[in-house]
Amino acid sequence: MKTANILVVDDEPNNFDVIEALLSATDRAKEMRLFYASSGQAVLERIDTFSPDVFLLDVMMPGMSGIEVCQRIKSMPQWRPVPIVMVTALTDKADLARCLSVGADDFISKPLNGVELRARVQAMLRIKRQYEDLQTLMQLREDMVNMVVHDLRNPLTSLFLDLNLLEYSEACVPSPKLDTMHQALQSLQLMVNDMLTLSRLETGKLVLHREVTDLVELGHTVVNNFEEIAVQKGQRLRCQVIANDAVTATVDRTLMHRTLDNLLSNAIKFSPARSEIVVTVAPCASAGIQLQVKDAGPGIPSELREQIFEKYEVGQRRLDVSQTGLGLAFCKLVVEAHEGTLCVKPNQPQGSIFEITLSGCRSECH
Amino acid sequence: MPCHAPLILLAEDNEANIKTFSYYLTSKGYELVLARNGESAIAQARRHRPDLVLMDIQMPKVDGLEAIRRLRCDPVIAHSPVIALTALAMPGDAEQCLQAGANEYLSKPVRLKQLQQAIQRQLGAGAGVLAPQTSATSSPGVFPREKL
Repeated sequence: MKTANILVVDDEPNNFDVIEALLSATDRAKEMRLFYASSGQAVLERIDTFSPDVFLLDVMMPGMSGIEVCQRIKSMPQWRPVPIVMVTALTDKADLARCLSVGADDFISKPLNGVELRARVQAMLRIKRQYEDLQTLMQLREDMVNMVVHDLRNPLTSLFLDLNLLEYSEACVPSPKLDTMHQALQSLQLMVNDMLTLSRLETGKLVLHREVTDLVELGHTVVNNFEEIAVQKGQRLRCQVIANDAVTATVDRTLMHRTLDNLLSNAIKFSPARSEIVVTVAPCASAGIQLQVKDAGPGIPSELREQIFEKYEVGQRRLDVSQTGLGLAFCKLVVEAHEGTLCVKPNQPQGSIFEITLSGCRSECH
Repeated sequence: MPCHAPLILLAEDNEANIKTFSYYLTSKGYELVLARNGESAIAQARRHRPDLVLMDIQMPKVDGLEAIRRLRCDPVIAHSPVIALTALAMPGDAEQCLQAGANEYLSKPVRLKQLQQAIQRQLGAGAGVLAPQTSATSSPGVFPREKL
């Protein structure tokens, strides 16, 4: 088993001696290595060097207090999972509660008791190991998903080709079934592509191909593409431009197109018949651009307005609508890769407004 | 005890150990100079004339044993007590360190309390000329005080 690094932070080295003596008095001492830092600043500067598996953090220290050190460590994503045990002479329950509220995982009171200290350190090391196991598992799952998605692309492509060949062959009898197959294949392919893009965005492997894009034209294209589907549902689609000139921006056109596709397709899915869905394009402050997709659906309850952008989150399940929970996560990642924001607001009198705000990417008008 | 804070030369290449030893020893009132390999240890010893040397044996460039041998040959610093630190507790390790001229030997992982006690022992023992503990030393002209 790998040895566990235990970092003791205490301004008083004699306290370290106590902890060292107590932790050495066990069979498991060989599985641990003790490190020492004499102040909060010392830890924060050197945390990578120590690479701790557990912190034993003194609360009362001159300069930066243990509480503050704890808070700072927990604000670093890389070190957040490392358990922190606060070592304290405090007995006031409110103080102990404060330690936990700033992110400490446990506390132990001075004077230290060897049996208790060893038990708590072991318990924290167990949590740390579980976290590491979980990380490995997540990574495995991620890799597997990527592999599967990747492998799905080849058979899909050949299905597409075969279907096309079939449609254009002389022996083919025209049938509405072929259209349905075509549509189904198309949506499968889009889904697979989105999943691939999503995983590339998440692992930082996706490079944006930014080009000067006319967003008014893009808005109209997206709306035109969905016209037919909307008409089938008895809905009206409209692209509204709140500008006199062209609105151009330097964005990845393909990804932005897919994002608007996703938003519009959601709007159509969730809006009732005879309602109107509007895509608006408008310049906004500091060379920014705002794109909105307004629907007349059931709206998103305020407590879900952050959550729906998480992967595999479908909000409230609707029996009549197919949901994979990847679409909005995809949109959010794309918008954020463009240093923009995506949020959802209630529409009046009913429905939602999905709003993309891109700042500083508006191109000069010519 | 000297009236100034005792100056210790720490020769060690592992950063986490360097930090742990330095935070601990400076908190305990010692002053520290650092060397990250044997060559720099010899240079730093000549320059600062430390009251004591903590020498890790496994180090890049010149290893600890060689560095101790060279320190012992240099009249300016030959008298500084040397505590050798070694990660491999192999039989014969201790003899090797002592033969090279170390006064004392601790195997890693070192308990800091024990380290400090060893430092105190060595500083208290050798206010002036201090000989290696082993009789096998070949340093000429150094009186083997421990033998008395």
